[in-house]
Amino acid sequence: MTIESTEAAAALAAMRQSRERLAAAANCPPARHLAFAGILGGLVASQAAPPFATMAIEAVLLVCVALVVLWDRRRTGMFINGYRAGRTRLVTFGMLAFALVVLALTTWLKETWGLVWAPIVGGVVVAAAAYYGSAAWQRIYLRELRETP
Amino acid sequence: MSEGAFDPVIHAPARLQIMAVLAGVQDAEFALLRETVGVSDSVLSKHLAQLAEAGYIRLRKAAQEGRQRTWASLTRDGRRALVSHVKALQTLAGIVDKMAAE
Repeated sequence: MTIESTEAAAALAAMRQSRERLAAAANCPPARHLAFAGILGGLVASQAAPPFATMAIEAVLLVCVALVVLWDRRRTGMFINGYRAGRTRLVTFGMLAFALVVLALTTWLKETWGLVWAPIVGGVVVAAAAYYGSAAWQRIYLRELRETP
Repeated sequence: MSEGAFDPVIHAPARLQIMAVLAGVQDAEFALLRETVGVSDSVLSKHLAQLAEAGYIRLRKAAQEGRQRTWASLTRDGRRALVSHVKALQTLAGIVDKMAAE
């Protein structure tokens, strides 16, 4: 099969247009960032509760994850994996690493020093970081959609 | 950089666009693909069937709000073929850029 170079350029331009339309459809309202922040922050803050209550809260948060996925699919007609390859992966792992460090630190403070409120403060800090991390993730994703190929 | 290879399955503009959209998501619903590619339901169905037959995309049906909806996702083979095809297009299109610059 042979194709003309102008045809190749037109095909690439059409591809970019489709990706541009996809970027426009991949809307992510502040409420979506807030939902993610609430789940991640909630996971850390739940450590302040007694062990059985912590497990119950974690179970509820897992259900919330499933609901957010469902919401994404209904709202946009697509699902985008948070661990997708690309520059967004750095943001994903950065947020998770930060949450894990805060989780470990605040749990230690609670267990060692009896600071029961530490996981709650940690949860608020993680939620704030997750909100801005989620917004940054979205910006990078949209830029990648528009830049490639 | 490898020059890539043209793929007759992906070469049709609508199929190339479908593949490009699916490369940006984990999966996409039929209506979204129709909007982003700008084709009718029947044309989209035909292209999706051809891509699925080639093993480049996976189709699944899922119930949503009481209706069956079709979701499509790119396979590993599909992603490989797309990357190769786009490289070939870029090589050719680069010739146009050079000519325009001269």
